[in-house]
Amino acid sequence: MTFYNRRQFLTRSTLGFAGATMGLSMLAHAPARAANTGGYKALVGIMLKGGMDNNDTILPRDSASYDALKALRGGIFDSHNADDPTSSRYRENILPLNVQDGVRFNGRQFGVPRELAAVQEMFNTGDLAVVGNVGPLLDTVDRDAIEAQSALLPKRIFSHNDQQSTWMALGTEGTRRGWGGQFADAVIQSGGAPNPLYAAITATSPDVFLAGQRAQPFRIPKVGSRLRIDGAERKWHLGYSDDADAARAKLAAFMRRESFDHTNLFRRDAVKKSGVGIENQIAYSERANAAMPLATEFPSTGLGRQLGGVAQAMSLRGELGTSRQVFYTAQGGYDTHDSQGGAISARHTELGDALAAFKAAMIELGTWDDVLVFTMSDFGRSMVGNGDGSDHGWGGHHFVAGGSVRGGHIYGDIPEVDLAHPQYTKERGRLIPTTSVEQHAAALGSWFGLDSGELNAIFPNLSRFDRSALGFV
Amino acid sequence: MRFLSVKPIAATLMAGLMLSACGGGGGSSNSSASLGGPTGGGTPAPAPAATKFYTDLETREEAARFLIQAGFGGTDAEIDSLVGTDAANWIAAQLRAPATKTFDAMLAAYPTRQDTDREHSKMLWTNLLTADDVLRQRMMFALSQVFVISDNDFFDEGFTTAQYTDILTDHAFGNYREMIEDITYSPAMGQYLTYYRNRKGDERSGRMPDENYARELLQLFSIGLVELNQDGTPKAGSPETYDNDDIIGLAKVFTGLSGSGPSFRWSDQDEDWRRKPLQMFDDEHSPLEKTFLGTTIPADTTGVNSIDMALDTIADHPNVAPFLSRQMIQRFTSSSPSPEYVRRVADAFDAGSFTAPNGRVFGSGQKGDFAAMIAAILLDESVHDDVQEANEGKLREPIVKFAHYARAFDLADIDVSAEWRFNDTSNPNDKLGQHPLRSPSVFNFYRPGYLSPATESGEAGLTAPEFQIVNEGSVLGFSNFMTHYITVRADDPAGNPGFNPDFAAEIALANDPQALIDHLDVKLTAGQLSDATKAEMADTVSTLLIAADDAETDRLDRVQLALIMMMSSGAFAVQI
Repeated sequence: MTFYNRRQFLTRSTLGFAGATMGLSMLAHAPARAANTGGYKALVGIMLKGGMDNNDTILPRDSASYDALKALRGGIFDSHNADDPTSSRYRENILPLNVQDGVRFNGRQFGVPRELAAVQEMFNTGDLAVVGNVGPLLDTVDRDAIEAQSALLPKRIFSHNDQQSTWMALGTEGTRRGWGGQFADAVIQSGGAPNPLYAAITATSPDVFLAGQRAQPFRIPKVGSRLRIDGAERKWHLGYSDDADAARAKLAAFMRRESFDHTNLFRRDAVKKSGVGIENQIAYSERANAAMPLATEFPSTGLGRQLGGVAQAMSLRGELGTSRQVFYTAQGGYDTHDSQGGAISARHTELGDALAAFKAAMIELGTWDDVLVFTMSDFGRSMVGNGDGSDHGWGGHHFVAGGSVRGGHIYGDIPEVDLAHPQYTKERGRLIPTTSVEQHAAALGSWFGLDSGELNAIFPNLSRFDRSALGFV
Repeated sequence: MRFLSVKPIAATLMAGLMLSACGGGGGSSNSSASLGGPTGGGTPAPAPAATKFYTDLETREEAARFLIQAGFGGTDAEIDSLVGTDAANWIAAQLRAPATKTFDAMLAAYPTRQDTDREHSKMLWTNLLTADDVLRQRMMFALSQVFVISDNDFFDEGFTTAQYTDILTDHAFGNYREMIEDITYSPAMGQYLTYYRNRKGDERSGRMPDENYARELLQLFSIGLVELNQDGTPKAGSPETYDNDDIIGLAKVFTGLSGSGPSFRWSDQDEDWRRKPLQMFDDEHSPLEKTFLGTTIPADTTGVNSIDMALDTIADHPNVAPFLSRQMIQRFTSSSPSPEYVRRVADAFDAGSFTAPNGRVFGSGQKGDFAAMIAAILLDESVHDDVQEANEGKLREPIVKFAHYARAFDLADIDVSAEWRFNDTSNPNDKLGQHPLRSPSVFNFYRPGYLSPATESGEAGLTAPEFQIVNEGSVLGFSNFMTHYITVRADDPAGNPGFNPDFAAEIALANDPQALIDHLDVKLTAGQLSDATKAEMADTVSTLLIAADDAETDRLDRVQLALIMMMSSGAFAVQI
C-alpha cells in the first residue's frame, strides 16, 4: 500500500493530464471547441441532495479493492444482492471506466454501476471526468492533523443543511450568496447578460447556489405549461360582458403590481415577490410556448423534467438576451441510511437517464461544447456500513461533463480502500477531502470566463490550494 | 387592549387602572408588576369601571387578529363572539376542548386492513379545516414542522402516521420530555430516521450503528448545533453543542428497537406492529459504554434504560427551551422574533408556567411545558400591542391560509376524500406548495434561519422561513388554486359539490364595494389593508356592473373578484 503525500498527487495528476492531451479522444474534441461560434457558455449544476455515497458510485473493479470494500460494508453489498451474477454490484458487471492516467492508481481499477451507463459512455468517450474526493476545506488536512486538533476545519461537517450550503455558498446555512449567483454577478457586471433576469435559472427550489448580489434565481415553469392568471383570463369566472373585461384588466394589473404602500418589510417583500413573479412567469411561459419544441425527449422523472426545462431555456438564449447562464437543478433521495441497494440504484437510474437525454438535447441545440454539467452533494458517506446503509461523510466523488471537458480522467484522488489511509477519519472511513470545493468551483468559474481577481474575491481560501491540480477543462 | 403601548397617556391610564384592579376582583395582583411604569404627562384619565388588560379583545379587528394568530381565522360569528373577551380565556377553553385525534377514527375506517391508501393524510387535512379544537390542531401542525416525518415514506401506512400525529396531538399542551420519548418509540420516526431495526455494532464485520436519529435528534429535535443564550441568540463565539464523537456515542443508544413481537426478527413482528410503540430487544442493543454531551451511560445498561438516560440528558440541556421556543413562535406569530420575546417564551417553557395579565395561570409547573409555551407565545404583549414595526409579523403558511379561507366562509360539504386536489397539495405551480406532514426532508418545508435573498427583510437580517417556498411559480399557483375554490365552488354548488363557500354576508354588501372591502378586510386581514389598497380593490370591484336582470350573479362576481385580490394581498400573506 502506497500513500502519496499531497505534493506527489499533484505532480502525478499534472503529468497524467499532459499525457492525456495527446490521446485520441482529446484530439477529436479540439476542432469542436474551435468551432464554438456564439460565445455562449452555460454551467449546469445538479445538486444531489442527501449526500451521495461515493463508495457506491465510483466502484472498485479490481478484485483486491472490491473485496476490501465488500468486507467493510457487507450489508450494503447484500442489499444489492451483489453475489447474484445479475446484480449491478457483481464485480464483473461493474461498467469499467477506462482511466486515461490510470497508471497512477497502481493497478486499481474503477467503474460505475450499470444504472450509470450514460456516465460510463461519456467518460470513455472523453466527455466526462471524475473529480475524486472533493469537499469543503479551509486548508489541506489529514487525519493526523484532525486528531492533533491542529487543523483549520469547515464548520458542521456532517450536517446536511449546513454542508449543502457550504458546497453551494461556502458557509453554513444562512449564508446569503452562492458561487453560482456570484458567477452570474460577474457576467452581469461585465455586460454578458443584457437581461439579468435570465442569468441565473433554477428548475427547482431557489436554493442559495444562485443567490448573488444582482443575480437571483429565476424559476422556470414546467415545459409545456401554459401559465395565466385564471381570474383575469378565464372569462367564465367573472362573465363575458365589457365591464367584466375592464375588471379583468384591473385585476391583472393589481396582481402584477410590484409594490404597494406597505411599511412592513415582510409585506413589501411578499407583494414584490408576488407581482414580479407573476409578471415574469407569464412572460417566460409565453416565450417558451411560442418556441419550437426540442425533438429530444426527456424522461418524465423529477431530474429529467428539470434538465428538460434547462434545455428549453437554453434554446431561448438568443431571445432572452444572455450569453452566459448558470443553471441549477436538484435530485433528492441520496440519504441512504438504510435499504441502500434499492434506493441508490433508483436515484442513479434517474441521474444517468437524465444526463443522457441532456447530452442529446445539447447536441441537438449545438451547445454541447458550450455547457459544463457538474454534480454537487451534501457530502460523501461512510465507507463502513451500518447494516444495509451508510452514514454521513465528508469528501465525495463528482462528475463534470460537457463537450469541452478533458474527459476520461480522474482528477484529484480516490484513496485506497483501506481504513488506515490518512485521508479517512479515524472511525468509519469517512473521506477527508483532498480537493476543496473552492478549487473545484474555481476551475468551473475560470472556464465560465471569470478572471483570477474575480475568483479570488469569491473564493477566499483559494490561495491555500494548488489550482493546477484540476485541469478538467 | 391597546392601552399598554408605551405612551405617557397609557401609563397614566394604567396607574389609574391598577387602583381598580387591586380592589376590583376578577383580576389578579400579579399583573401589577408588569403594569408598573413611569407616570406623568397628560391628564389623568378616570378609571374605567372594569379592569382592562392588553389581552382584552375589544374590537372585531382585535378578535380577528387573535384568531389569525392562534387558530385559522374565523367566521363573522366567531369573530363577534370573541369581542369583549380576554384572549387568555379563549386559550384556557381551547386547552380543555376534547382533542380531535385520528388513530381511533382510522381503526373505525379500517378495522382489519393494514393498507390504508392515503386516507390518514386526508383525515389530517379535514381536521385542519374543520375540527373545533383549533389551537390543538394548529399546535399539532406546528409540532409536525419541528419533529418532522414525511408520509412520502409511508405511502399507505395510515396507522403509522396516525399513531405519530396522535402523539403530537396528545402532547400538544403536555411535556417535551414525555413527547420526545413517545416519538422515539414511534414506528413512524423509527422508520423515517432509520433506527427501526438498527443493530448494535459488530466488531467482526466492522458494522456500526446507524447514526441518523442520533444526529437529527440533536440537530433538529432538541438542542441544535450551537450553544444558545436563553433568548435564542448564539453564545459568544458560537460554540458547537456536540461533535461527531457525541453522535457515535449517542447512536449506540438507539439500537435494538424493532416492531413489537416475540423477537427482533422481521418475520416475528406482530402483524399490527405499526399501530404500537417500537419494542426494545436487548440482544440487539449495544452493550458498550455510550458517551455523549458529557454523559456516560455505563456498559451493559439495558436499551430502555439507555434511552431514558439519553433523553433525560438531552431534555435537561439549556438549549432546548430557546431552540424550540423560537421555532414555535415562528409557527404562530413572528417570522423573526426579537430575542426578548424568545426569552420570555423560553422562560415560561422552562418554568412550566405562564401567568396571563388577567391572572390565569397556564402550565403544569414542570420543565418543558407546551401549554405554558403556547400561552406565552399568544399572550405576549408584543403581539397584542398597537405598534406596527417594519420588522414585525409572520409570513403565513399556504396550508394555514387555505384553512383560514375555508373556515372564514364556513365551507360546506368538506369531503377531502372526494377532493382529488387534496390527494397532494404539494405542487407549488398549481396547488399550495405544501401538504401536511409531507415535507421533502426532515428539514421541513423551510428552515427557521432562512433569509430570503434579494429582499428587504433578508437584507435586514430578518428570518422568514416561509419565503423559502415562495417563488415565481408558487405565487401564481396559489392564486389560481384559490380562484378555483372562490369561483367554481360558489357558482354552482350543485354541479360542483364540495368545499362550497357561504358568501351570503358578502353578497349582501356587494352593492357597496367600499363596504364589501371593509368587511373582508376585517375578516381576512384583521383590518390591516392599507387605504390605498382598499381604494384600488373597491375601484376594481365597482367596475363590475350590477345588471337588473341578473343582479344576484353580478353581486357574486363582485365578491369573487374582491376575494381573488384579497388572497394576493400583502396583508393576507403576512399577519401582523
